[in-house]
Amino acid sequence: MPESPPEPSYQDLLERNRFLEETNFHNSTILDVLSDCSNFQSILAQRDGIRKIMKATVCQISRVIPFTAMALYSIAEDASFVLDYCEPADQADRLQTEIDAKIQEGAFAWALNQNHPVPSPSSAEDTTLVLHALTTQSSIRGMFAGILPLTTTEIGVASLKTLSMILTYTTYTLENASLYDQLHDHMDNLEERVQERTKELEAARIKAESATRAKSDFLATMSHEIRTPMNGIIGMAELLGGTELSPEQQEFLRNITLSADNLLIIINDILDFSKIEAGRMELDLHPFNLGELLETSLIPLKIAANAKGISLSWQIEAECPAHLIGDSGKIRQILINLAGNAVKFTAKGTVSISITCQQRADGLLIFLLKVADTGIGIAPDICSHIFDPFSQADSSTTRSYGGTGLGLAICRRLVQLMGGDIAVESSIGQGSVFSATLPLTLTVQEYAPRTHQPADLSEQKPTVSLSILLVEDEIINQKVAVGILQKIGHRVTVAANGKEALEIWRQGSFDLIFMDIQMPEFDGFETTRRIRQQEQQHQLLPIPVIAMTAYAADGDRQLCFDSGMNGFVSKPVRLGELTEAIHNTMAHRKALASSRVAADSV
Amino acid sequence: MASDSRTTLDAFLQNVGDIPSLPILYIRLDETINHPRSSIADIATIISEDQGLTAKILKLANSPLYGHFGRIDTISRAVTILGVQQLRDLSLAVSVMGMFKHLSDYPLSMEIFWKHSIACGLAARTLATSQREANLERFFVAGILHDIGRLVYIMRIPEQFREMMKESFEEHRSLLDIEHEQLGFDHGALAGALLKEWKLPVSISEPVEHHHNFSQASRYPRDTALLHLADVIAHALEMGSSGEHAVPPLAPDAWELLAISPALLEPVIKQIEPQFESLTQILREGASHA
Repeated sequence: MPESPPEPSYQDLLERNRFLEETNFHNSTILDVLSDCSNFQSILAQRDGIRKIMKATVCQISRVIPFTAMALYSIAEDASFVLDYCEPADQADRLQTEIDAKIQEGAFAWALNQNHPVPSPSSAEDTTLVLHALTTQSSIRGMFAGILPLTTTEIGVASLKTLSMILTYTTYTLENASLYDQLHDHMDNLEERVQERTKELEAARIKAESATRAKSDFLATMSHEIRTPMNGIIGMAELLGGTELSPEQQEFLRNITLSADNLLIIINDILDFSKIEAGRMELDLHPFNLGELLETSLIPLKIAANAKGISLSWQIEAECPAHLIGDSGKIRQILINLAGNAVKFTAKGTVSISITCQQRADGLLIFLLKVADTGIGIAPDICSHIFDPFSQADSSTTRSYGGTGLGLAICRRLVQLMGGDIAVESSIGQGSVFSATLPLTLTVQEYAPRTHQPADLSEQKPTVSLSILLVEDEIINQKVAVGILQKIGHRVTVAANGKEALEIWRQGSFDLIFMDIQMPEFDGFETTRRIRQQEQQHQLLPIPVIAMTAYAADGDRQLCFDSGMNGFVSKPVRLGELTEAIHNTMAHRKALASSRVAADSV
Repeated sequence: MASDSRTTLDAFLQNVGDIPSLPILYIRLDETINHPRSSIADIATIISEDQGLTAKILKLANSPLYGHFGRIDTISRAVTILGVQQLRDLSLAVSVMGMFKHLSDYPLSMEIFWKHSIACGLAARTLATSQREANLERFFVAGILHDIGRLVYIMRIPEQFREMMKESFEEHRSLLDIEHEQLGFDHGALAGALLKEWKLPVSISEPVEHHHNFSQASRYPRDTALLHLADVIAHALEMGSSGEHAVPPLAPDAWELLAISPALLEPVIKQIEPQFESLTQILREGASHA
């Protein structure tokens, strides 16, 4: 504690009192000023905030220091000093002159590197120019300049300290402002970039979608493109088989046919798999008869099994309903694949197929299809991969037994598509049991099974020779179809496209039309639609139309019926299928015609 | 342990007689600066009363330490150019150095002692400049004053201090540790107490007090860390000595707090070395030697 003088005089006390009062007043003023400065932040948010802050700064300074002119400069990007604010405005030039002089001297540069006020004599007598750099810890932002009506040494120390405090506040606030600006810029940029990105993503999506469409179109086209020559090979081979051949030639032909059949299987597998992978495989739900499905699918396999010396049998549990709704084509595919594999990989013994069913709580029926064989079996560790695409038990299997390795993969996908699952139990040398669960629903109406005999109609002669209009644009397909039909004993007229077909049909009188679907200009659907239209107009009996489809899309089936067709055969066309289709269609027509007659006569 | 050393320190301060007080001139200078009605002329007048102080300040003002473009001839110009607070801090440094100028060179050479303190002050100021600190002279004066605790040992317990230095040298132990052992406190705490007694700003007294135990600095940790680093640099450059023969360890958390790149040290040292001689000459002018 400093010692107080032993006996303060009255004057001393008065002086002390004055000192305390002045100090007190000075300090309160400063507190006031600082308190107002702390509001600078909120001014920032207003419009023209920066200018307002500069104005407020100058205002606060003038409360405590008697500047006659004040100006704030900031550093531009090119390192020159730009006047931001001047009060009074008409002093701007004068200040500029003073500053220029100080720059010349070097005093300006000096002041810029200090963070305290630097007063120096100005050009006018008894006035002082005060320079104060506007700096923060991170940067130098500009300069304050002011003119005081005092000589340099008359300037109050306290004023300089206060000036420093106020300008520090202001500079940090202005730095904040520019940081906010940067932030806003960033956010604007961000918005812009988000928009750009969204556009990019949108473009990418459109591209991806068109790629998917292209893929689908490709699949459809490929399907058609591949099956057409296959049709040619198989059809021609069949026709060749009906001609006079030497035993050697017959042997060669058998091999051609075998190869062509195998090739067709492989192609179908690949196209099916591609379709599934592209997500383009759809279920075609319709009523069918379970027993009939098994019969028609398995009888050909039974023949093959018998030839190998193994037995093939099937059984449907008595409680299983026969009339169901499902995609019979795909179920057939699964059946044939599993049973075909069983026959293929069994050298001796049996292949047995069984179907049982269980009712689920929600009314769905779950059918369990089991295909059991006494064949070579599958190693347990391979069992888990057997349904993966392109895997077979081992590569030697491919060599001995052939195949693409896609069959089981396709089976699994199809089963899954229908809402079920597939599994295998097996061990080497002990045979295998493949089980698939298939959810199916009951159909309300009974579907009358066809009671015809399958296959072997090539033996029978047709009862009547029909006049058939063949509508087909591909030359090779024309030749095949004409060849087969003529072999059966029918008379064939060919139209190369839909337009021709309409003309020829109008002028001629035909019993039946075989209509290719994929044709340029009018496709098969459109041509059929027009035929039906004209038939209605002229009240003609509708002519049976059988579609020849490459099964490119499952929707084809429905489209066929929607456009007025009566049936379809698949390409490549075969003798057996054509015969059956003609037989069914004509029988149906006969029934139709007789009922009409009956109706008319009433 | 801290409170123990506090009582030991208090006892030390009590028992060894009067504590030296700041020169009156400096006290008046400080008061005038704080007076609401003071002008630059008033400041200049007070300083001018002490010719030695005036001469030294002008020499400093014109030295490469400031690198001013023109010659500074008068104290009032020095005030306007260098700044009021800055001039006060310079005056403090010079004044305190003057307080101890009659000390003999036993047991420690004053020349060597002050060289170390000046080196520390210079290092602290240079580091502070590189870190864009606001009050450079504050760091300068803290550096000059940081070891005056040892001057108090020399003034009041010269024999014991000599023994401590001997033990440190012969047994290769840190003088600082021996201080703690024998006295229960260190010269930093002693100097800190002194500066507080002199009512100097805490921004100077705290860094000085804790320049050897950085973790204790509560209000100005960054300034303390900087002073600590400056001390280590001064020791490492072997510019003088305050009795310690080895470089004290650099506190890792002080270094971390400063977040200075090691690459900065070289340019800092390059700045210190050329200025050290001239600064020592200016500040030590007129000092009497034994």
